[in-house]
Amino acid sequence: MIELLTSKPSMVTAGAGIEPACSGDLKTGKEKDDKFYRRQPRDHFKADTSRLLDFVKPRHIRRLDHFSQLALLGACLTAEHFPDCFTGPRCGLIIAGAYGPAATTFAFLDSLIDHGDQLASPTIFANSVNNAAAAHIARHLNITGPTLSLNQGHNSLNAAFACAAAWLVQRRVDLVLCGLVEEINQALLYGFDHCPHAAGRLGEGAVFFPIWRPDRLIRKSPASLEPDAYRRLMISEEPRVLSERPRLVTCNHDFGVELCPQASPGLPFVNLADSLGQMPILNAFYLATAINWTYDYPGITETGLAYLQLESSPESEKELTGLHYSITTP
Amino acid sequence: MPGKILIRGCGAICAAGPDLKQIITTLFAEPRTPAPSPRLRLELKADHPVFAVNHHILDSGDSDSGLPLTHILARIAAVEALSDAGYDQPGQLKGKKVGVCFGTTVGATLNNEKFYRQLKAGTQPALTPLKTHLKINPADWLAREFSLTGPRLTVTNACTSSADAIAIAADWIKSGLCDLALAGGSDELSRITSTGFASLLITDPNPCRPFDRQRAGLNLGEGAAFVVLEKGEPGNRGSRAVLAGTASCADAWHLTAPHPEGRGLKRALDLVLEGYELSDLAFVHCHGTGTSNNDLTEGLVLREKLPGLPFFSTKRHTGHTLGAAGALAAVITISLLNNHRIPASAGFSQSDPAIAVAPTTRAQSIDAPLALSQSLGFGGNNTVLLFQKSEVGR
Repeated sequence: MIELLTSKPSMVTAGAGIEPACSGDLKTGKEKDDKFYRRQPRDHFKADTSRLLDFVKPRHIRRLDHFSQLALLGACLTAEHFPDCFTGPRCGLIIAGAYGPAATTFAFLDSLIDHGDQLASPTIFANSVNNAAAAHIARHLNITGPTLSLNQGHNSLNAAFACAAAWLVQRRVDLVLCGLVEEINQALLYGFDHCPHAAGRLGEGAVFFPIWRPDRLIRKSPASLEPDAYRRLMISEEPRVLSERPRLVTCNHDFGVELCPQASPGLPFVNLADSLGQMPILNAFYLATAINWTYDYPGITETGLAYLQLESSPESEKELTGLHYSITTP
Repeated sequence: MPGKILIRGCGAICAAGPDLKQIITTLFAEPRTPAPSPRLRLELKADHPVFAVNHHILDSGDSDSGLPLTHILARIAAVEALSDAGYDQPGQLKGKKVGVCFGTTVGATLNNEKFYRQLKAGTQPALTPLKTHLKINPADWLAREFSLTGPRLTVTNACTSSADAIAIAADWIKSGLCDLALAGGSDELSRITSTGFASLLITDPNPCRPFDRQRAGLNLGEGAAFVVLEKGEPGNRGSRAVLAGTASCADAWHLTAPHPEGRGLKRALDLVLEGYELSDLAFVHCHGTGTSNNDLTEGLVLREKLPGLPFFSTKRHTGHTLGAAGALAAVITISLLNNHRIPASAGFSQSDPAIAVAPTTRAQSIDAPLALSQSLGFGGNNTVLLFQKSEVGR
């Protein structure tokens, strides 16, 4: 079991954002329309990064690709919420996702195909390297601890948390800025349109979790947040049969993560796929939403999220098997 | 929990040889000359010679399977590492939680040029390359190949990827996330990285000359290297070395250039060497790519932090293998430490007054128990691994 402390995550979203998907559900306890497996018009959700201008000078944004802008905005929103925390040598940075800046790689290929190998763009190439976004964030926030970029498909969220936990347990850092970032790219759009199992629309976005060691609460530190600002996050290290029904259940498939209403009958739920679009890191948005519920609805002191593995078949399996995230108020 | 992180086994493949033993032999011989690769079909004005793996040594069955070369190379190095650790029989790892930490750049990139050219041309390409990419995440794939059930991670930290993979795997074991780990990295030559590095004007049209006054850039290479890490007591039969320390620090400075004073590298060295004396160290295996910026930064930091300590680069033998470079440097460092002998820094002949220190110019014996392996990466990553001879307790 991985145990971490977290607080309010920051999200860069597409479409109408998280709120429409969440509003009313908890209060009414009613399920929304079952649209989950119905095909939608293919106007996919691109995330808006214009707020980045609130944090970064235009001349510094000029050479950033869209992936790095998504990531940098998510990081800046978290840094704004926790001033003077996510900086310096005792802060680690993790950027995780399934595809990385693939659209930028394709833009680099455009420069080769359109103009020849000799005129390949060095600026685009530099941004197409997988850890470019982490480099931009480290530079902007002056994070000089360890930085890690990882690609672990649908399991990126858990892989990122496992590394954050290991860094914290080994005292390499005091806190970790942990970001999940995904962007729409041409190959995904094509694949999505030609995949018979793909439902809804593609989406993109970034979600950043502030992470501390579990013993943070008992340490006296001038930079400590108030105890009630923290949430304790417990994560199962590997899929297991879940003995208790969590409040949110999602399952993944080739093109994203979907809510699985059948697995939690009678419980309130949200369908972020309809609001944000499908993406491999949608489970990170579900987790962020579940964490936010514990702030937005004071009556909730504990909630959970299950992430079902691809091999699971929630329609046919009676047992609920997957990774389990438990969020509690310390 | 008691015990140290032991390196139980090592494996590698690159242009310098099909296994670690041959690679070490090559380091003490006249370096090979890199050559343009017909496989890359580059249309550039200048030559961009590379260090390609001899494809005759690859299993022809694999090369026909559609499996990327990055994965094939990884399997070769991983088999050697597991065998070296004594895990060469089926079922030996059953019941153990074995993590896989895989560093790469090309191996995790959705960059199939043929697919994209067809897509861009408006034709309807088959989805196979996309599906293949989804199914063969490097760490997941390697774990499946050896039926390993532990945490899996594909690290994409550019040139420090596989050094970081080793450091993370060690932290997993120390934190109780797994019993042992297979960690390292692999990368193949590709048109994208070749044209990309050429566009950055940091490739040498001649054989690279790390730390030399006339150095003009790097030569790309390809290869893979893996280690098997396990907790235990130093001196245990079969352990190759102790992973005595790891540190990774960001420059937070520039996307493509290291901090001019080596801010992150200095801090990483301070962290990893805390509690040790300079006299404990035998040598530094440098990143030493042959680019102006990298070698200047590394040289200046070594002059200040580790004066008089022998250092060298092996890129003139292996090429810069990107995501595999850190692990390749690690297994070479371990072997040299155990062989008590280090090579001349191939490609070097003239000192650079700006650096004011010179790498090894001849093979020499070493005696001290510790050695450093340095990796600097795109984006300002600096990762240092400290290895200790396994028979020497701290």
